Amino acid sequence: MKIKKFHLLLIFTLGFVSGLPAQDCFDDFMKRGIDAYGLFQFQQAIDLFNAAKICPDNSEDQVQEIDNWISKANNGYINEITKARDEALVLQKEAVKQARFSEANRLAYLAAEELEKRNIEDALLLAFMGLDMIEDEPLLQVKQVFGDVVASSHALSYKGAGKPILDSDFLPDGRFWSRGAGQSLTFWGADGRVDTMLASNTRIMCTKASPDGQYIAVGFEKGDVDILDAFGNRIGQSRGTGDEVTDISFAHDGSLLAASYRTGKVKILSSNGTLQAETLGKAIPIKEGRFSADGKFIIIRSASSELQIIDTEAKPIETIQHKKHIYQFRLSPDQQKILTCSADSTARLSDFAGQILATLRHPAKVHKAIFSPDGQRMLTAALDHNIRFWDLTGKLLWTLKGNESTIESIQFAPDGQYFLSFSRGNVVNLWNSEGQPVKNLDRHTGSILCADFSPDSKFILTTSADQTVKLWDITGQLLMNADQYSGSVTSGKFSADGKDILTASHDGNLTVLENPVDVFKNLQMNPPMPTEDQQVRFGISPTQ
Amino acid sequence: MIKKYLSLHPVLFSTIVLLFPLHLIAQNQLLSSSRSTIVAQIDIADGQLEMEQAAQIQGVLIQSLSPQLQNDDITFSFQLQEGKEEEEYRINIRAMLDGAVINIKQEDLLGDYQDRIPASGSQGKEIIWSGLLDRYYDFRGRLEVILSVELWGQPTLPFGVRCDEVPVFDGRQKLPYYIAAGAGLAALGISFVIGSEAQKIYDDDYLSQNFEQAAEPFYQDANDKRHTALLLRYGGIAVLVADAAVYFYRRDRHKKKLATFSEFCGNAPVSVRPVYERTSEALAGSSIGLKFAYRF
Repeated sequence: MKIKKFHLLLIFTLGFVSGLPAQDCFDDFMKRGIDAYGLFQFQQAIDLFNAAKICPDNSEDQVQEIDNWISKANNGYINEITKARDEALVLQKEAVKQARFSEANRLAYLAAEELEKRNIEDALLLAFMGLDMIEDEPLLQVKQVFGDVVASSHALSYKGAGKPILDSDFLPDGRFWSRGAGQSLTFWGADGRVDTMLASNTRIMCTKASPDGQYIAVGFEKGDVDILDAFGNRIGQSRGTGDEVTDISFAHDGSLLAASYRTGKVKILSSNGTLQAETLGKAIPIKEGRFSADGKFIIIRSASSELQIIDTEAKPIETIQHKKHIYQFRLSPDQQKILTCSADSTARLSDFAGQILATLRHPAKVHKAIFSPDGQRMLTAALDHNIRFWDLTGKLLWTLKGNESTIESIQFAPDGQYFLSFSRGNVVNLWNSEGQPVKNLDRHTGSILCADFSPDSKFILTTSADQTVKLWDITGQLLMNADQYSGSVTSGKFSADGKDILTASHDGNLTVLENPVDVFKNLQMNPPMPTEDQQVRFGISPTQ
Repeated sequence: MIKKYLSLHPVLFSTIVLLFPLHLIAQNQLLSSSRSTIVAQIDIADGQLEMEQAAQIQGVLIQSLSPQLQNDDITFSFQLQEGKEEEEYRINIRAMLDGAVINIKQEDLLGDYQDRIPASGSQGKEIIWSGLLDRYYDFRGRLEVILSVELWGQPTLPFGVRCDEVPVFDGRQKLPYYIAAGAGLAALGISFVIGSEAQKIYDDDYLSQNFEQAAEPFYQDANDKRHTALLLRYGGIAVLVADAAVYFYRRDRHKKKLATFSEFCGNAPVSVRPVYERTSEALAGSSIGLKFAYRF
């Protein structure tokens, strides 16, 4: 076709050039050829340059110029074809990707539908196929649907006695325990059944697991302290004298315990409950006690403006004094410094000799104070709803304006790259370590009750009065919405490996959820199969 | 499942069904209630608690109420009216700060804040609302606390005392129980008759047949009769048990009524009698009082 056209053009050109003066002929064809070149019509330009070539009386320079242009047009043609091919390849790739995304979205939609119908197996298969299709692309809807399906398919629920759960935690072997408001302590088996349930006829005031998780100390309203092993067997006891136990703390090696009482006493007990020493007490309730890392000191906070440091023989060593009530204290990661915050609108950094290293001031009561994981910076929150960031010299680095209500929690990620804060509302604020907002986790419809980073700092868990648990990635994207609860979810904790999440709800039930990212990895190694495939694999006929 | 259960445990089931009303009768009832309100200006971080006015008390159960701030705890001390041994108090506390309702966590309350506490014995009570600064950080403003107390127990004077009606539990009242007992015994007797008849058919007719086809009807007949006999036997026992339980409960109640009647409506020419007009949140508009009576 092109050849035919070319011949026609040539005949026409010969006819035309025979009637033109030589210079006009050259100029005319060259001009038109160059115009065509400028319009990327390379084939037409080459034809016109060839036509100029046969104009009469062309000089050598003119012929050379024509050849140059023909060469340029040829190259342009090739380049254009290459470019067009590359563009086509890119478009094809994009089209394939879009088709993949569209298919992944379709599968996610179908998975969500199956989930709605409670066809969990089908939902899991569809959601997995969808997520597998998008690989690491940020297709949030697909990721979230997979997470939602995992929340249903991989959740284990443990029916409690209907009373709110006040405390719960994992045991080292993957089992866990819980303390209910109904004066009971329950050790749960991995199969969801109760291993041991200890019902008390007096109120349980507090529970504390030893650092290695092998022992659990229980403090009672009448002052008794029981020390249990991880199966609920009593291995030690300290009898009380009718005074409520307010807190229990284990030394890091688990050899000693400090039991605090409402009368202001602190008893130092051995791990079998034998009394080693006790303070006289100042008739002010003790709120909490903590052993120093070397186990030589115990830091005691009472309902007062004073923080006391005693040794393991219950002798007072030092006192850290504020002007008003001390809300809390924290030990630095190197265990050399103590950070206190108080209703006197200051937080203080002190050492164990009681020397004040820095005073951190707010214009309002300072009710929260924490160290960064590297111990080099401090974060304080005050009742004016502001968060302040300090270095160890007490220099204010920056101030963050929080929400309109009281800040309930501030918490660093274990790697120190991010921190979160939440107030008495529905939003968790995620910040980076420079104090810049990363994202507002704002998908809850009820008050946030708990938020926690995973041990690897990659995920954030939030629980809420809206009866849901949500899992987010560190960029603030929602990965899972678990909504199978029938009461406010009061607490959520990651297991040490970050793979499981233990949640407790106000209806007295416990639920263990699996991290969908780990579930996805496992499924990639052993993918779920359609029901009919399973039947073939196991040789089961539907009619049998 | 239920059918199987019924056939296996007819006595148990019948007894439960028949005794269920008794269970309802035996439940404690709200006898009286009372509440007290205190209003105070509070700033816990500064250690201030100033009452705006003395505690307002409605009803007779709460005799006094006073709050005291200790560190970051508020202790409410109150005195309750002495109750009877079998009665119990149920105590509830509500609070508002600057008009906003505070959801008090039960785990923050210490002392005499339990579901049920005995109404007799020491009447000086104490509830500690603990750890307020730990929970609320800044607890200040106008605090309004309402302490509600309910007295629950068995009403010994459910309708006041009417001296013109002597409580009776004689032959006429007892007749239904005798009839029920008779019916139960009759059912038992009939069950033995039918049972022995079934055994007779089995022994004489069924076992004497040589062919299965001929023996089958006798077996069926004997089996049906045996089932009927068992049903009558268990039913009869259940009726007897339930009848006896209700009878003894009512006799006991009659004795209590009679004792009350003797106490207030004896032959004394002058007596003071309680009347049913009690104050109660549950029974609005009622009041409690005594009536002076003169017999002539």
